Amino acid sequence: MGYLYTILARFFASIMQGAAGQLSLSMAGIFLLSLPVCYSFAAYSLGISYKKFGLSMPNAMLIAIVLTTLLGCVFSYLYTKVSKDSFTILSLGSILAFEAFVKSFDELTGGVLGISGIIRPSFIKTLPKLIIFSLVIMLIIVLVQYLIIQSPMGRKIRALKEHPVALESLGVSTKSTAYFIIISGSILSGIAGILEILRIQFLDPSFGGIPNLIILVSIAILCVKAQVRNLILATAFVIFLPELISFLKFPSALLGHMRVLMYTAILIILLRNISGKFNVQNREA
Amino acid sequence: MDFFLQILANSLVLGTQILFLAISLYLIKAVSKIEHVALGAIGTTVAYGFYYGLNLNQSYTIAVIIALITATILGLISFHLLEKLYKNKDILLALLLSLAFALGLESLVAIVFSSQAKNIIEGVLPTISFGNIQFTLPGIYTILIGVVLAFFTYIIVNKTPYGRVLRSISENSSLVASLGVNQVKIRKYVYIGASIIAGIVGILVAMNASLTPTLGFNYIMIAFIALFVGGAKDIRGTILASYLIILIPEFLINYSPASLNFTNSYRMFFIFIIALLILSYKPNGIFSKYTRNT
Repeated sequence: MGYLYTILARFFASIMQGAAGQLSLSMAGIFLLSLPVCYSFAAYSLGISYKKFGLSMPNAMLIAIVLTTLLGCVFSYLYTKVSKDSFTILSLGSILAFEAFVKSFDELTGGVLGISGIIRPSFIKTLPKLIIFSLVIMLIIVLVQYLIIQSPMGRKIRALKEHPVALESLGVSTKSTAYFIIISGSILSGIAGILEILRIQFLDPSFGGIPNLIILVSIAILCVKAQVRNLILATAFVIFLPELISFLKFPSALLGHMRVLMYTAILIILLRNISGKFNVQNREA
Repeated sequence: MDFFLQILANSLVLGTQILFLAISLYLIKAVSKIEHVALGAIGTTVAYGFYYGLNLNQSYTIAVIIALITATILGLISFHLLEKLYKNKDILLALLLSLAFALGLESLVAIVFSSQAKNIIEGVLPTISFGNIQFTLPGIYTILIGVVLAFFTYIIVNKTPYGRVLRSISENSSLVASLGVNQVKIRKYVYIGASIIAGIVGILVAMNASLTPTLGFNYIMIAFIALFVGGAKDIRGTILASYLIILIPEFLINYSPASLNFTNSYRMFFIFIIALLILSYKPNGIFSKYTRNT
C-alpha cells in the first residue's frame, strides 16, 4: 500500500509540475528549464523556515510560496533582459548553480547532509491524509489550468509562441504575458516541491535537479496540445511506464540509471517525432 | 606573490579545458545554431573508452584508437539525432534532445563502468615546476594543446575560405547550397571534429582528476556560459570569456575573508552570477555588436 501511495503522490506532484511545463514550454514556447530550481527552492525554504528558524509548518509553507514567487520574478526579469538562447542556457545552468549553493552554504542548508526531520502538519500527519490533500490541491490546479487555457489569457499564451508580433500589434504586452507564465509556473513547481518534501520528510542537494527536469520536459512535450486531458495522460505515461522496470530483476544499484535511461529514450523519441510540429498548431480557419 | 601565480596557473589549466569545449560548441553552433549540450557527456564517454583501452592492453596507442573510434561514432550519432531538428529549425528542441542524449550517455556509462571514480593515472600525478609554481603534466599538455587549438581555430574560422563557409552555413544556408556546398557533409565532419575535441578534453580532465560518469556536465555548462558571455558569433569573445569566468571565481574563493568561508564548491554558483550580470548588461555577449531589429 505504501508503494501505491508513493506512486500516487509522485503522480499528483508531477501533474502540478507538468502544468507549469505545459504553460511555459508547450503553450508559450518559453524554455523555462529552471522549474526544478523552483521545486527545490520551495522545499529548502520550507525546510529552513521550519527547522532553522522554528516557524510553524503552515507559516513555513506560506513563506516558501512567497519566496518561490520572488524567485519566479527574478527569472521573469531575466527572460526580458537576455536572448532566448541565453535564457535557456542560464535557466539550465541555474540548476547546477543552485545545487552548488545548497552544497556549500551548509550553515543554512545542511550542506551535503541536507535537512532531516521535517514533520507534517497535524491535519496531514499520515500518508493517506497527505495523498488526499495532494489530490485536492492537484484538482484545484487542474481546474485553474483548464480555466486559463479556455480564457483569453490562454489564447495570449498560445499567441506568444505562434506569433508574438501579432500579439503585440493587438495591444497585448508580451512582457506581461511572459511574466505571468514564468511566475505562475514557478509557483506551481514550488507547490509540487512542498508537497513532495512533506511526503519524504527529508531534504538533500539531490532533491529535484536534472532528473526532475527530464520528467518535466517529457510531460510538457507529450502534452503539446493545450488540453488538460493531455496533461493528465502525459503525466500518467511518464510516471507509470518506468515503474514497469521495477518488476524486472535488475540489481538495485542499476535501477536508478535504468530509469533515467528509459526517460531519456522516451524524450529523444518524442522530440524527434514532434520536430516540425512544435511551433505552429493546425487550427481550422 | 607565489600564491597569486599558482592561482593564475590553476585557472589557466581549467580555463583551457573550458576553452576546448567552448570551441567545440562554437563550431557546432556555427554550422547548425544548435547548443549541443551532449558534448560534455561525449567527452566523458571518450575518456572511458580511453580508460578501457588502457586497461585492456596497457598501451596508449590502443587507448587512443579506441577513444578516436568512440568519438567518431558518438559524433555521427549526434549528427543523425540532431539533423532532423536542424532542418525543421527546432533549435531549442534540439537543445533538449542533446540534453536527453547526454543524460542517457551518462546513465549508460554508469551501468557499464559503474559510478565509482576511476583513475587513468594511478598514484601521484607527475608535476613540473617553474620556480615555485607547479603544473601537473596533464595540465601542461592541456595548455599547450589548448593554445594551439585556439590559435588554429581563430585562423581557420576568420581568415580562411573554409571558415567563411562554416559561418555562412548558419547565416544563409540556402545561398550556400546554391553555391554547390554540401552542407550535410560539412555538418557531419564538424560534429565528428567537435566530438574528438570534446574527447581530448575529457581525457585530459580525467588524467588531472578522477573519471566519473557525470564529469562532463558541469564543464559543458561552464563552456556554454563562456560561449554566451563571450558572444556566440565571435571566437575571440569565447576565448576571453573561457578564462574570465574561471579567473574571477578563483580569486573570489581564494582571496575572500575567512569568515565568508567560500570554498571550491561555490565555483559554479559564482560563475552563474557573473554570467547573469554580464548578460543582463550585454545580452549578446562581451564582443557583441549592437544591432537593430528591422
